[in-house]
Amino acid sequence: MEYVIEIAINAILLSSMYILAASGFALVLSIMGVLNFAHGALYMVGGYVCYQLAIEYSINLYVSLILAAGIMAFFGILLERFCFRPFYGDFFSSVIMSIALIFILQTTINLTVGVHVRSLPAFVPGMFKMGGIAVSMERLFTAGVGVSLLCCLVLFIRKTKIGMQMLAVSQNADGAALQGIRIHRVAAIAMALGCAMAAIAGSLMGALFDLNTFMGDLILVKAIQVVILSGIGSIGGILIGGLIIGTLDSVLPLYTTPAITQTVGLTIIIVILLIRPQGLFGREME
Amino acid sequence: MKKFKLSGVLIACILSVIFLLPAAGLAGNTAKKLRIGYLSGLTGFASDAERIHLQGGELARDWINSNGGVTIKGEKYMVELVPEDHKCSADGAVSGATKLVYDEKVKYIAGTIMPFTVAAVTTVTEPAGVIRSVGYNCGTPQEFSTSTPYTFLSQNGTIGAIISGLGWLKKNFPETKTISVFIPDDGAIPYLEPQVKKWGEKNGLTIKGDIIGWPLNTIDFTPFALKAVKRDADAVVMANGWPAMVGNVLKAMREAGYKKPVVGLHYLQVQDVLEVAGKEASDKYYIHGLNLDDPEMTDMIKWIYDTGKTRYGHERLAFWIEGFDPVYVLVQAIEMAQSLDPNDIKKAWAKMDTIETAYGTSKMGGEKTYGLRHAVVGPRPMAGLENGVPKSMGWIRDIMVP
Repeated sequence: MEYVIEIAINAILLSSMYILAASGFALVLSIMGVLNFAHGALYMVGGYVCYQLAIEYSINLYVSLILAAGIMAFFGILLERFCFRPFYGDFFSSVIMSIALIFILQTTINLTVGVHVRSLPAFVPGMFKMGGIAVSMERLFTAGVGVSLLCCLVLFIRKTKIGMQMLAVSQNADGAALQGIRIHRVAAIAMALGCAMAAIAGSLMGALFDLNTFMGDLILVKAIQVVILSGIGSIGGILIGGLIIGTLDSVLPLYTTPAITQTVGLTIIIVILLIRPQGLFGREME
Repeated sequence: MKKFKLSGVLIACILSVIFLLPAAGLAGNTAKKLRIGYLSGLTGFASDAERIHLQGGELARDWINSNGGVTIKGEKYMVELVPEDHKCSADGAVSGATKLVYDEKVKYIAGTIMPFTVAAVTTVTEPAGVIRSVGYNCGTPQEFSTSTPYTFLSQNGTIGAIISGLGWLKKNFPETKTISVFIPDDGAIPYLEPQVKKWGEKNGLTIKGDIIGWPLNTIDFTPFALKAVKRDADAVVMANGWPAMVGNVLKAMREAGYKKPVVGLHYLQVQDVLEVAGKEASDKYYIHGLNLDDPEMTDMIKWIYDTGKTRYGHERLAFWIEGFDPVYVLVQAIEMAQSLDPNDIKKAWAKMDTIETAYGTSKMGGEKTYGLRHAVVGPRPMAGLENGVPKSMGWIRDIMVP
């Protein structure tokens, strides 16, 4: 029984990590219509920024996390202004731009600090024990942050003026502009939020696992899976999409080989998409 | 008109500098060049470690050249490395090797560690008759077997580590009877499983369950750790994996409640594992690796450490050595052959009984295991992490891969 509970807890924790990583990616895709493949690289840079602040400049770890989110949010505004805005409405050019950003960011980090093995210290050290079950506090903290951030994001979009402007832009940018919404400003805020969330995810995962130049590549694949399964345009749907993929990734390896795990996982996603091509909670795309 | 004259003089000066200076430099340098290609992952998922291999190769070049270079039939040669990026992928390895062999015209290539890159390069070097001194071997026949007669293994490889590591485990933890085995799912599991079984049985160790394979793109190792912990073997052994991966496996296992010894059947620096696993998880972990204050460090390793630290600003010694030895042993084989012809070098190298490595005098072996006597097998230190502190665990000096 303990083993089953441990598997269930691990499934929830891994799902929450995927949710955390996918939220920012989904936000930028939904609001800006940009398939930002550089999200993984931004997640990696955010982790390294937090490391530099916390370890090299000895700033408190939580303060470093907030500062890293702030720095990356500002970086996001610059990215939107200089890298994505020139290609607004041009899907393929923005995709190429995001791929170029991956190479630029990865190579920069690789050549500067990438040679060192690094890991952030635990935000919440120790183990949580109940009966015969033990879970690391770090994992619980990451899960809590992941789900809380997603809830905050959903509330922000549904309850605030700027959030509703984002919704309007995502549904019809031209229509929103005709209503007086400054779509570039909305896009810049979405990009800043997406980058800040990437930085928080990268920092937490950098403490949970390790920091390396290519850590974003792996999580990007998971983020894409979660977003496609949840449905493009549905931020809240990420919760369910993340839970499905996280559960598959945490349960299947216990009973089968890695190759079969990946095949079965992807097959289930394909079957769901065959039944609902727009994803579980997505809207039909034009 | 004056302007044209002035421009003419200026152009003539520039052309003179371009063409005459290098010629003057060459005239002053009497030693010939021994060009050795060096393949490593300068970009790609494992480039944080693979770039250090190239640094190790550069250190070997400098050490050899500062000690007089290579003498062949009375003529001096200075080693020149021709680095190439294999991008940590099989197709990158093929294109890198093709560039080295057909564009750069090198006759010898050092480096490559990961099994799919090692195997991919053989498809270019073997038909071209280019000598390879590979940095590592995971035991697959595609990397190293009778079908790769121009390929030599410059270090013990995973099978060497299985032989010595399981022996060390039994000697130091005699109560161990069962083991769980972790191996990355990179194509090597079917070939390493029989080796672990064979050498485990020789040491009275039985594998519990099947091999636990984990994909190279794993983010969270907890499911695999849970699988191992459930088996409750007396020890867990891990063959292969980069430091971050190994550190994450160790952390996940300790978090899942596993408190027994974990032994690495490959070669890493324990400080790297400690950085990722953290102090709390870093207990009863042992691997073939140098502790940075190992009292038995060889003079050559001390030189590599001091020079590398000054030059490159970090301390990843194990990877420097892993990059150093492929060049160092290759040059000895060339000197032994007293020829630059790959066929002569191949014959001479296979006949050598001993060869020097950074770790000390090593032997040539591998005839029974790989089907050809092309494996350099030498002494290795053991290092451990106990209560979050790196420890030197002594050296294993009698390693042999039959």
